[in-house]
Formats: sequence, C-alpha cells, structure tokens
Amino acid sequence: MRTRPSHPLIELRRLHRYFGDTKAVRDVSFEVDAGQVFGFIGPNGAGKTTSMRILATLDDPTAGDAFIDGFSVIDDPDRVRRRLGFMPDYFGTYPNVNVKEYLDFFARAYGLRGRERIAAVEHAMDFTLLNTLAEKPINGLSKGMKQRLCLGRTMVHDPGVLILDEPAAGLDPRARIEVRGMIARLADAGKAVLISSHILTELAEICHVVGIIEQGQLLAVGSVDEISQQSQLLRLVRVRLLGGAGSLGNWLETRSDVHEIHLDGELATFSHHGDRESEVVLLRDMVQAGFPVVEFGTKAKSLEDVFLHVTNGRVQ
Amino acid sequence: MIETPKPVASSERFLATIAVTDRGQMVWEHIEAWLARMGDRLNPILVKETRQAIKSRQFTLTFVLVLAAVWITTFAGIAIMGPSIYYSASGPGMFWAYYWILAFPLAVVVPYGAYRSLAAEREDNTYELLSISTLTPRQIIWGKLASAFVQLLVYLSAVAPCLAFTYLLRGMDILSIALLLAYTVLGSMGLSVIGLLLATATKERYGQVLLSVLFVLALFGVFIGAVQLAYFFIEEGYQILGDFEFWIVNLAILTAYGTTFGIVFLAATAQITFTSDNRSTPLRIAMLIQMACFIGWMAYACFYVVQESTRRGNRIAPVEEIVLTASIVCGVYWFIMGTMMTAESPVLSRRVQRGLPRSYLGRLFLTWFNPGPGTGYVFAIANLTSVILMGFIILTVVPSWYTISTFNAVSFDQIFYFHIIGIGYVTLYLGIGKYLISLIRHFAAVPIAAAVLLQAFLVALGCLVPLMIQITFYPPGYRGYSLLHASNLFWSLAEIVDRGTLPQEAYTLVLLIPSLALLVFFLNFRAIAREVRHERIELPARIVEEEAAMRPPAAPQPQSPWDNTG
Ligand SMILES: Nc1ncnc2c1ncn2[C@@H]1O[C@H](COP(=O)(O)OP(=O)(O)O)[C@@H](O)[C@H]1O
Ligand SMILES: [Mg+2]
Repeated sequence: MRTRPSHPLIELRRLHRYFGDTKAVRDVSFEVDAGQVFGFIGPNGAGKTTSMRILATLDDPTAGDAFIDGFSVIDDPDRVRRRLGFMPDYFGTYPNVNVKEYLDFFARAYGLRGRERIAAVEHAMDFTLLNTLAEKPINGLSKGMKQRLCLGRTMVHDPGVLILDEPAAGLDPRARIEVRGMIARLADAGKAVLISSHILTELAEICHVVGIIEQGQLLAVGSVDEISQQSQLLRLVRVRLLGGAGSLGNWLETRSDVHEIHLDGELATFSHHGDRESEVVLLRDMVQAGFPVVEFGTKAKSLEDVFLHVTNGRVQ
Repeated sequence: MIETPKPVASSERFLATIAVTDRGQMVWEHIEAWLARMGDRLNPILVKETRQAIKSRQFTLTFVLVLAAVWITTFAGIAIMGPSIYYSASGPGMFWAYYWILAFPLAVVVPYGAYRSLAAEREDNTYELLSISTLTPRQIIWGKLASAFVQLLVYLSAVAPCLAFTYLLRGMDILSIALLLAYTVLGSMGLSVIGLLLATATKERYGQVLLSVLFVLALFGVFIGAVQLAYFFIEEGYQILGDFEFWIVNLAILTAYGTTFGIVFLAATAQITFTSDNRSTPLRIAMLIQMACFIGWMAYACFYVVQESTRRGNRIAPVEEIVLTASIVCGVYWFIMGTMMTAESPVLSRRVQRGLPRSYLGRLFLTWFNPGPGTGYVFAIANLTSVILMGFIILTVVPSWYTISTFNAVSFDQIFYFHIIGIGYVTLYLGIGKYLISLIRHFAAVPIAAAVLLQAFLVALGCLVPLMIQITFYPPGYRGYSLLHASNLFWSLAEIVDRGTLPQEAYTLVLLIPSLALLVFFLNFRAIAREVRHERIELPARIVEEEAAMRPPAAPQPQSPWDNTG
C-alpha cells in the first residue's frame, strides 16, 4: 500500500489571478488531504472556477503557485495531469459518439491500454450507473446522465485528486443525492476531492472542510459547524456616545470579547464575539460604567452575509 | 422434394459444423485480439475519429458523391470517345478528368477537415479536456494528421482503380501516374498540417471566421493550381521524366517539403504546449536543419554549374549569382524567423531553467537555442552571418579548384558590399523591432502576429517616408536613388548589384548601416545579457523523489560468472 505522503494532495499557496482590473482570485491558500472532501463555497463570480482551472493546469496564476501531490501546476503540468481528474462546469461533447466510446477515448487519452483500459471503462460505467446506457449517443443524454458521464470521464484513469466544478448544479434532488453519494465514495477510496458550489447546503453533508470565498478572497476555512458558529458569533457593533467616544476606548480594550476598535468623534465601532445575550450584557455594563450611550447597533460581519447568501443559494 | 437425411450422417455433419465454427471462432477471436492490440498502439484521436467518421452522414455523403462522380465520368468518357477508345491514346484525357475528382477532396476537403476538426475541439470545449489528459501536444497533432490521412486514403481508394484504368487506355505511363499521385498526397498532408497550425493560431471567434474563409479561398487556389500543373505534367511531363536533373530537382523539392512540414508541425505543437515548457528550442533546431539542407543544395548547385561549364568547355560559370540568390533567400528567411523569435517572452520559466547547459562550451554554443527574444535575435543574426561566410568560402574555393572564372555578371566588390550591408539591415531592423516590442511589453502582451505586423510596418516606414520626402521636396520627375533612401533596404540593396559597378552611395552605406546596426545591437545588449546569464536550477525535491521511486535501485547484477554460483 501507499504510505501517507509528507505533502497534502492539493495545496494552494498564495494564489492570485487577475484579468486586467478584475481581481478574480486574491491570495488564496488552503490544503486538502487524501480522503478529504473540501467544499469551495461562494456566490457566482467569487473566483471558484478560476482557482479550479489553475489547479487543473488550464490557466496560469498571476502570482503564487498551486501543487498537486507536491508538483507545481505551473512548472510540471505534465506530472500534475497524470494524477488529476478535472470536471469543468461544462460538458465537452463529440458528435457520433456513444457513452462507451466516449469513456474509451478518454481512457486511451490517459494512456490506458489493453485489458487495463477495458476494465477502467467498465469500472467507470459501473460506478456512475451508466452500464445500461453504454450504446447510447452522448448527445441524447439527460442533464443528470451527462453529469454522471462527466464524472465517469473524470475518474476513468483513477486519479488521486479530483476537482469538480459545481457537480450538483442544475440537478434534480434525486440526481443530486446520487452524485453526492458517488463523491463520498470517491473520498472513502482515499482521493482528495475539491468541489465547488454556490449553495452551502447542497454539499454540507459530504464536505469535511469548507472554504468560503467571496470576491476572490478566502474568508474562512473550517468544518461546516465551525464556520456557522463563527459567523453567528462575530458581529460588528456601533455605539454613539454623547460628547465624544474617546473615553470608551480604554474601557473597551480591557474586555476580551471586543476587537478591532475604531473611534471617530462620537462614534465607536468594534467587533464583538459572543451571542445576542452577551450583547445585552455588554450594553448594560457600558451604561452601568456611566457612559452616555445614545445609540447602540449591531450588524452581521460580512462573513455572515456571504454565509447567508451561500446557505440560501441566492445569486448576487 | 424433401430429402430426409439419415440420422447418423446428420449428427456427424452437425458435429463437424461445430468443430468448424469452433475453429472459426478461435481464428476470429485471435484476429480480434490482434486488432485490439494494434488499436492500442494507434493514436487515441485516430481511433476516435475513425469511429466517428464511420457513423458520420457527412463523410458517407462525400464518399458517395466522389464515387458517383467517378462513375459518371467513366461512362461519359467512354460514350464520348466511342470506338476511338480502341486505337487512340485516350489515357491522358481521362486521367485529367479523374484527377479533378481526386484533387478536390485532397486539396480542399481533407485539409479543411483537419482545420475544422481542431478548431471545433476548441469551440466545443473538448480541447481543454484533451489538453489536460496525458496526451502530448505532439500526439494531438499527429492524431489529427493521421485522421486526415485515413480520410485521404478512403478518397484515394475510390478513385485509384480508375486511374489504373487510364493506364490501360494508353498514353499514360505508370511513372507519371505514381509521381502525380505521390505529390498530390504529400500536398494534401502539407495543407492539412498548415490547417492545424491555423486552427491553433487564434481563439477568438472573429479571427477564426476570418481565418477559415481565407484558408478555404487559398485551398481553392491550390486546387485550381494543382489541376493545371497536372495538365501541364500530363502533356509535357514524359519528356523530362528521363532527365537526371528532373530527379535532382524532385529531391530538392522533397527536402524543402520535409523540412517545412517539420517546422509547421512543430509550430502547431508549440502553440498548444503549456506556457512553462520549452516551445522554442525544437523549432530553432528545425530551422537550423532546414537551413543546412538549403545550403547543401545550393552548394550542390554551384558544383553542378561549374561541372556543366567545364564539360561544355566553357570557362565561365555563374557561381556568384547562385550565391547571391541563396543569401537573399537566407536573408529573408532569417529576417522573418528572427521577427518571430524576437516576439518570444523574455521570462525563462523555471522548467526551462532546469535544463540549461552547464558546461562552458555548452553555454557558449547552446544558449542561443534557449527561448527568449535576445537569444532569438542573436540566433538569427549568427545564422545569417555564417551562411554568408559559407557563401564566400564557396565563391573562393570552387572557381580556384576548377580553374573557372566567376564574377562576370556581378563584381566581387558588389557581392562583398551587398552582404555586409545586408547583414547590417537585418541586424538593424530586427533590433529596432525587438527593442520596441520590449517597450510595448510593459503595457500589453505582444502576440507573434502583432510582432510580425510591427516589423512589416517598420520596414514599410523605412521605404515610404523617404519616398514621401522625395515626392514633396524634390523637383517633379526626379526618381533617382540617393542616400535619402538609406532606410529603404530593398532599393539600397538592389542599387548595389543592379549595374556592373558599385554605385557612389555604397561607400557611405557600408559605413552607415553596419554602424547603426551595431548601435542598435548595443541598445539591446543589456536585455540579451540578462537572458544569457541564467544558470541551471536544481530539480525540485518532489521530482527527484518521484524519479527515484519510478526507477528503483537496480538489483545487484552479477559482476562475474562466479558471483552467481552461490
Ligand atoms: N477569462 C476571463 N477574462 C476576464 N475575466 C474573467 C475571466 N474568467 C473569469 N473572469 C472573472 O473573474 C471573476 C471570477 O469568476 P469565476 O472564477 O468564474 O467565478 P465563480 O466560478 O466563482 O462563479 C468574475 O468576475 C469573472 O468575470
Ligand atoms: Mg464557476
């Protein structure tokens, strides 16, 4: 058996990609280990596809680098390609080709020969439940079948790393459950899987780790639970004091649940860590300490904004 | 009447049938396994596209049309010729008619099909899927070419029997038929590889539409040209088939074809190779080989004219004209190639830096093969200079060996000045172009096509501006050459060799142009030096690790026959 390598199977190191003035990806770094499913969550235009295309050696970063099984996607795309399966958000189709021929072609393109190739094609069709459709022309497939065929093509050469761009987008609930099951099984087989979505709930169950990305920046990385707690607990507080907020600064700095304090005339803004009840405590403490509070407002940090968007699947 | 067979005989026959089908089955399985093994060796793209073609209606339709055209031509031909078919030489006429039918698919359909097949992969996004597979760019282009070749074979097999039939009609010899067919097939493959290069040239929709229209027009032009050439060859060809020179010229044409094919193939491959890989060195080697072949043939031509003159008792041979022609061709060649090389990116990828030469000699001679505008500039100039030096060697050696006189049309001085000034012009213009490109690069990417346009613009500027000045400020009707036109490289160079003696301006030009060239060269010097200074970097640890894992330490080999006896 393979020993566990010293490096992660997927690694992004300070990845940047600019298209002219559009900063599609800004300083994104994260790692994915073998057997792990990493969910890349963010609204449309957040930079998910751009990052994934760089990982798949289809595009070059403006700065930074990414590594698949320790090999740079910039310098050694040939070695990266051998161990990588990429499923883009489109379906590349050929006329006059059936399901089996399609998979057979990609198996050949990945250098599989003879029995090995036949077995790989059979396995891909078994795995994606396409056996009964082997002779069906690919242009006549339904959306769900096409998605499964894409997955079959992506895994036909048994890569250690899978990068799937919105694999569940546009599927009916039943097909989505099927695809999720397949992805989970691939991770169980020891593959590192990176999947993207603009809807958190779509993937929440199968992702070991999720990363929230917006406007090219990675806002948070962690398990789904960690992130949802984090985003509920961190809120922005705005306080207006009669006659200037200057004296409040020192008082706030003594508290451990308050960070990033900004004072500006009558206004004090800071971030507060805690649930809604602790906000009530904070206000009471402030008033009891004799501060003339005339206004007290709290607002979700942008992380929660994003989180809300992605959890509801709302498109920005 | 129904015969009832005897039961015993029947069962015997039944068993025999089983045995036969069993053996048949086995043979069939063997064949199938063999085919599968062969199929495994074939290019994946070829396998896929052949499968597609078999199912494609369009392909079937074209094939049926060709067959129908062949049949109609045959019947019409026989009907028109009538009984004269038995005594007149009607082969050539029929051959030409069939050639029309064959040349169309080979000159237009196959190359355009190759172009479309790659362009369509890019439009339908399947190209990206292919490019991230482990297929190399070379395999992709070969696969497309092989598919084009299979199509070509199918068309050929439809028409070939009829071409053989024209041989029976008399008037066509088998050699002419074979030669014409061979050239048509080679031409078709050459056009196909050009089509593939064009398909890689641009990703933009408008560019692709424009390119495909131009390509189809060009292919039609080639088709008409091919048919006319074939006509000429059928009418006149038999006279030259016996000439030794004819075959020599054929060999030279084949050399040019082969090397150009190689360069276009490598260029198409380079276009679809990932950016960090070395896309320049193979092309530079191919250019060098092509140049070497050209020089070889030109040297042969010099020897040939000298020997011919000697054989005829003539003591004069136009060696200098051959050398002059050769260096003009080389000058244009390295100017164009240099323009493309100076458009390369100045950034040497880490991947390329891993393979840089390490030894002193390696660095001295091989650095110029590395990708980069500076090395490309030097590569072009160095090649042109060495070609011209070789020309001078031939010019001095050959006549003295054969005691024959040269320099009859043009004087030695003229040749000498022409070459010095010529190298100067190439160095000057390439250098200015390279410098401008490096400036533009600060603001925008410069694709190769843009660099070529820029260089053409510079040369045109050098020709037109003095002309404008002359028309505006000089007395009307004055059309003579003067130093005002020093920037016009065509006119200046032509002026030097046009008449029997050197023109007055040559003495100024020979100082002016090379000094300007040197100036521009030093303007670029720092950029060149920066490229040359790169040293080899070590392989990343991960690669070393993988290479080691792939090649496990060899089991201890017996050092002598006695080692293994234990
Ligand atoms: N080839 C490109 N040229 C210019 N801008 C691009 C290109 N590709 C993506 N972008 C821009 O980069 C940003 C990120 O896009 P993308 O990665 O596709 O987002 P996502 O996949 O998260 O929806 C968008 O603003 C998009 O317009
Ligand atoms: Mg996307």
